[in-house]
Amino acid sequence: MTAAVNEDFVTTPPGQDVAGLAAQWAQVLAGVVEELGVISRSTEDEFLAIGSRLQDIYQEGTGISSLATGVVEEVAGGKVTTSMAELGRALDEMERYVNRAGEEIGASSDTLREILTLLEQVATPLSGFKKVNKVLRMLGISTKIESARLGQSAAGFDTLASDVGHLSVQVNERAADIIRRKDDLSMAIGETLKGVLSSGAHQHDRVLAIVKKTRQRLETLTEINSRCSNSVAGVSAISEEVSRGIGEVVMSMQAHDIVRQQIEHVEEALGDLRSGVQSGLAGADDAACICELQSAQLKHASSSLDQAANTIIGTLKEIARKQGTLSAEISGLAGVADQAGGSFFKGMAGDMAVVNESLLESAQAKRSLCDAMTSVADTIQEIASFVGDIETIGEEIKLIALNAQIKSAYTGDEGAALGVLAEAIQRLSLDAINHTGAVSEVLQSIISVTERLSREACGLDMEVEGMVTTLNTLVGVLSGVNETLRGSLAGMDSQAALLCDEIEQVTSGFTVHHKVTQVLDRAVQKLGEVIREARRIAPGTGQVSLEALAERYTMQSERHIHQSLVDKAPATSEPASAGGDDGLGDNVELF
Amino acid sequence: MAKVIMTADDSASVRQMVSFTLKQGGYEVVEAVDGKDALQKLSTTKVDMLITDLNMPNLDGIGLIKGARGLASCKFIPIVMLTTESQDSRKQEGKAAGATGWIVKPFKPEQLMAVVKKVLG
Repeated sequence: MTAAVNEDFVTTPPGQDVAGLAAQWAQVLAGVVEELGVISRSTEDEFLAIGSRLQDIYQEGTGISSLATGVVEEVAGGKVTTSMAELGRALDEMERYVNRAGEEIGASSDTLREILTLLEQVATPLSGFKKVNKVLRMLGISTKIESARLGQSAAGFDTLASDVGHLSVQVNERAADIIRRKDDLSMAIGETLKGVLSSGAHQHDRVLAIVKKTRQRLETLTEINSRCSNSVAGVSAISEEVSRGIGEVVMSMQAHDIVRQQIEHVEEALGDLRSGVQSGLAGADDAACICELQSAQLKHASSSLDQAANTIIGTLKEIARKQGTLSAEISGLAGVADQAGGSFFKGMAGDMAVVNESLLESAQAKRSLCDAMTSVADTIQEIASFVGDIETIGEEIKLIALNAQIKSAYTGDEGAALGVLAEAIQRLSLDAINHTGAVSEVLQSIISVTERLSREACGLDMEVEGMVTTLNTLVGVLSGVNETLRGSLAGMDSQAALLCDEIEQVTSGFTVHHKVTQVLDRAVQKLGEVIREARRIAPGTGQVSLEALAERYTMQSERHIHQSLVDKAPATSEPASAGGDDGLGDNVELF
Repeated sequence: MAKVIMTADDSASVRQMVSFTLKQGGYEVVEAVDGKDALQKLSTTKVDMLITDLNMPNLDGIGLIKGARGLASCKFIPIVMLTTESQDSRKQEGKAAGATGWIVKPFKPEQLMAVVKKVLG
């Protein structure tokens, strides 16, 4: 430190004795004693101010560590781990489902196409009905002509021809109904086919994209989980460092009492010297030796206080820095801090919601297919009833033809032609019955194909419901974790900010050590002037007894400084020992 | 119910740090500014342990220990000296007066807590 001009001293002319300097030294010593008295009694308030905030700082520090531990445990904890495992299984299941659904869609499409082909096959026997109808009408006309030619002997054949004509019209109408229904059905199946293919492709692509994305998120979550598990030790280490830091602050805070005592001892020693100098009991050698010793004590006191104050400030700032870093690291670990406007878990929950939507859409498509199959079955039943009608008509024609044959036989040779016509009508009725058999066979095939497809489509619907329930549960769990994390991280951030502010506030106002150092340096400088003057008169005999001063000491450090000056050896800073080998420390002894 | 510990020290900052440490450990703390103040409070307040400085105005630590041991309520409580003094002669003086243990300042919080737990059982 730069030496300030000391106004208490004037250069003493060579040869001037101690008596001449006594008044001057006494005045200097009185000034130093007064300043030391003031400084030793007025500096505790700033220490007390820091001490009163230490409790809050400690609690806030441990609060941040607890929150950090909570966050880490939440992310690496059982709830997330279980959800992750379930999510992994759900993704596997979903992938299997999507792939199977793809195959099902293919199979459903093939089945629908198969139904379309079968419906086309119905067309051939239906065209047979047209031919039957046409020939029946011709035969009816021929029968009427022959009946008219034969006159009374062919009575009744006219009615027969009318009946056949009437029935052939009915066959024609039923065949037309069947064709209409078949065409409507083909159109409806075509529409369903288009819908199944379109919805299937959309759902398939969307779900697979999300499955892929969710797998990536799951991998990230696994990494986060692993990092969080590893960081438990780190969080705990920071908590220990904070506790250790608070311990160091507590130790350094006691420096005030230690330094105060040391300064008070110097104050007393210099007060005694002043009296001695004034009374003439103390000479230049006494003044030099005592001032040298007190100067060394003051330098030690100044350095101890400065070191303690810097430890307090540095440690508190380090606590704030560590807690701030901890808060930022944990936020980063949880994957939240670096994602503006959202969080990792929120994104995941959003994806799950989209998957749910896709699966429900898929289920809806399956339900539509189910409904379409029911509709196909209903229409086929309707067609079958028309076919049944035609079959009945065929049977009726067959009976009419048989009656006609019998009647023509009664008519004799003249009715031979009518017999031929009746036989032809009977053959046609058999053709019609055969055609209905062919149509029924195709319809039966359609019914069995429709039933199979209906079973498959409706079965998948149940599976989708199970998956949606599982995913909704997972979304709920992950959203819950997210909410907890958001609360904890926000709390941790604000606590860390509060702690930093508080520590900044506390440490910025802590300047007492500068003031003490200034006063002690000035005292050392003034004592230096006395020493120089005294040594000029008495260059140093080493005969001065400092025993009385040693009795005043209450600290080992004071005694070390004293001894080193007496021995003319540098002071060693041995730690104060209370003995004891009980693991409590060198400064503790239990009796 | 939390145990009560008295800290007697003429330094407010030391009393503050002792209180801080003990309260962190779940103890109740009674403060006394010197030996005389401590003795007065001990006559009306029951404490489970006494932690005292050696050099204090009005009544020093040795005088306080002797006075406390004279009180029925303090006859068997642990009394630990917490002081900057580390001379064996002073420690023997304290032990003779009835001190249970001796801690040289500055103390670490964990040391003080370890001593308290050990002597309070």
